[in-house]
Amino acid sequence: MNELKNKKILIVDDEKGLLDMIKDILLSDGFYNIYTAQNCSETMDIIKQQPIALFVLDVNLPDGDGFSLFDDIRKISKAPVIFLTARGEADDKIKGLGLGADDYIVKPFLTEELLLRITALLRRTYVKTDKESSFMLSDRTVDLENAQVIYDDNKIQLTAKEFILLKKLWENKNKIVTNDALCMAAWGDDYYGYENTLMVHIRRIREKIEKNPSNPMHLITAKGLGYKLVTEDE
Amino acid sequence: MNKTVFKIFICFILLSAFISTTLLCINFAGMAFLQSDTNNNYPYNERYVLEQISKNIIISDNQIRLENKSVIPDNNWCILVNGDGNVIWGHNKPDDIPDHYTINDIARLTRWYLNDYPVYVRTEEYGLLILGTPKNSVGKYELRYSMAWFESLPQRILIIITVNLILAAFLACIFGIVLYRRLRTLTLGIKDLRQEKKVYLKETGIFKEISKSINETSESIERKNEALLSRDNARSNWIAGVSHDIRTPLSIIMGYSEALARSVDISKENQTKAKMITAQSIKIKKLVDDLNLISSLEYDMQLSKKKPVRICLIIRSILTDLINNGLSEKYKINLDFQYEKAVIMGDEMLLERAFFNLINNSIVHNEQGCKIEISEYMYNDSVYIRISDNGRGVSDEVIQNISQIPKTAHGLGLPMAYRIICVHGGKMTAENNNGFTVKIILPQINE
Repeated sequence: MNELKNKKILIVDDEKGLLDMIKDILLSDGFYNIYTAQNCSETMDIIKQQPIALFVLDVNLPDGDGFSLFDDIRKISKAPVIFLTARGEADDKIKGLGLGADDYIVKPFLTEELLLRITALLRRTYVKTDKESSFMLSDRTVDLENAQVIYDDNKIQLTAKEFILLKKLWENKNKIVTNDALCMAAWGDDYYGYENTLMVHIRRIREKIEKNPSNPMHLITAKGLGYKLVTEDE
Repeated sequence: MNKTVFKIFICFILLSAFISTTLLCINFAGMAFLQSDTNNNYPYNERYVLEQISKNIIISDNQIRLENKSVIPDNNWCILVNGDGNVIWGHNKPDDIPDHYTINDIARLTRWYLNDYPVYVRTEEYGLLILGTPKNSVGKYELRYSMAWFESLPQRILIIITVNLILAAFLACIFGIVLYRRLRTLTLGIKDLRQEKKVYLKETGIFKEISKSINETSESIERKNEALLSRDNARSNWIAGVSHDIRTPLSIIMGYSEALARSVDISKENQTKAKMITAQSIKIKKLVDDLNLISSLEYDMQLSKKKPVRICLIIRSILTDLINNGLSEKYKINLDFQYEKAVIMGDEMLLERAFFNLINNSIVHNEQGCKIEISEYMYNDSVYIRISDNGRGVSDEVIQNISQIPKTAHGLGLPMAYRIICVHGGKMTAENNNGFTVKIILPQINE
């Protein structure tokens, strides 16, 4: 985990007070490679010199907006970006950007939440551990790298859709994931009508990961809402 | 047909008919008046005068005299012609009147003139009495009609009257229709004016002035609305700007208060104080969010970010978030979605907020726990959503004031949901029915 703390983080906001505060918070959390910029041109100067690992960008900047700055950054760096926004400020645009590693956080925010998101993004982008690519469910191991369920020397292959669904559930383990979110992950935005197909896939996943598929212990139905992957470590 | 205009139309037709009939009657009377010649009537009636002369002529011993000379009007003259054509008596006889007449002269003068004097004759036993009037005092014309003409006269009079009446009715109708059209344009204009639509009427014809006034009124309403809108926009923008500007300082306050609360360098007591600062800051954050939302609902009645939104998805995601964030088991939630496909045009964030407020209302008002039932179905192109709980319900005051934004931030949830539903062209009603029930109807879009 500690390797994340030396990642170079660039915070861009026109308000110096906010920059200082975030810097303080990150420093006290153990991050030490922190850069700040108050406008677009400063930002571009810094990223030409430093390999920045993560950006925190304000949407409103004195010499441009965060979105165009984001485009400029993308030409040079593939590092993840977290947007700082006010509610209602180009929500659609931000949601549209919510692809890949990018995230956004609404002002005012709790620093705990900001730290959580920064850490999660850094981990997702830079850490590839075995622990991440496989997990245990009772007596079985789910190997996400190879899309397999392993138990008693048996290796059961997951189909592409089963893999996507199980991964989505694993990413939100111990939380309900709505039917809509699952369908969207498997079939994209225009997923309407796949609800029954989803049920079929869930049953097949249960057959592979549950000891007793008709009385599931791990892949639980939340009636009317969706499904929840219950893991032991909670 | 417009009721008021129709009434005016009928009145106009009746009035026109009345006027034309009256005119017709007056004209007939006028014709009769034209026929009458007061100068040619009693006591100047020639026949009467001749009769009086005849009565006053006394013939005795070959002497002829007029007993009373006043029977002959001034300027008139009179002669008596015997069977041989000789004048045997005369009174005021002008010099240019001959003393002897042939049979031809007699035939000519009986009907017309004698030396340009208009004359009248009366036959007596002793000869022909001729009354002469001054030259150019009377014109004489001969009227002659066939008997058939006389026989068909009543019919023709009837035809003339009928044609006149029909013409009058026809003209009244034509003018009535023209008037009706003009009036209808006017009333439609006024109707549009009442709905504050932009009105422009052609400024011509008899209603030119009224049309002009309506156009001017429309322009002035438009100007006022624009002023009102720009004022509302200014206010709304100001609130948006201020609430935006509060966010950054508030982030700093929250960041440092959180840091202080965690800090080991300060006392427990001060850590608690720092925690309180954070908690109060979160309250301010919520207030700012609500203020901004209410202001935009109040002033920008048009939704700026419309897109197709699936209602069931929104409700499911709200419930999932509530449960994932540790909603107590005391609350049992029952879902009954009949029409998963329901899609409405709207602002996803606002709708999410509205449904969250309604569901959260049931949770917050029933700390003892309750059953929450959410059902949804489609009927006649509308989505019906019912959110009900079996809790303790709300006060009647809350239900009555569901559309009113309260003076303070307390109790904002339901009115905010109400406004959001209204902005989406929907309806929302609330009632206490073994708990609290909210019913919502939203227009569904056809895919």
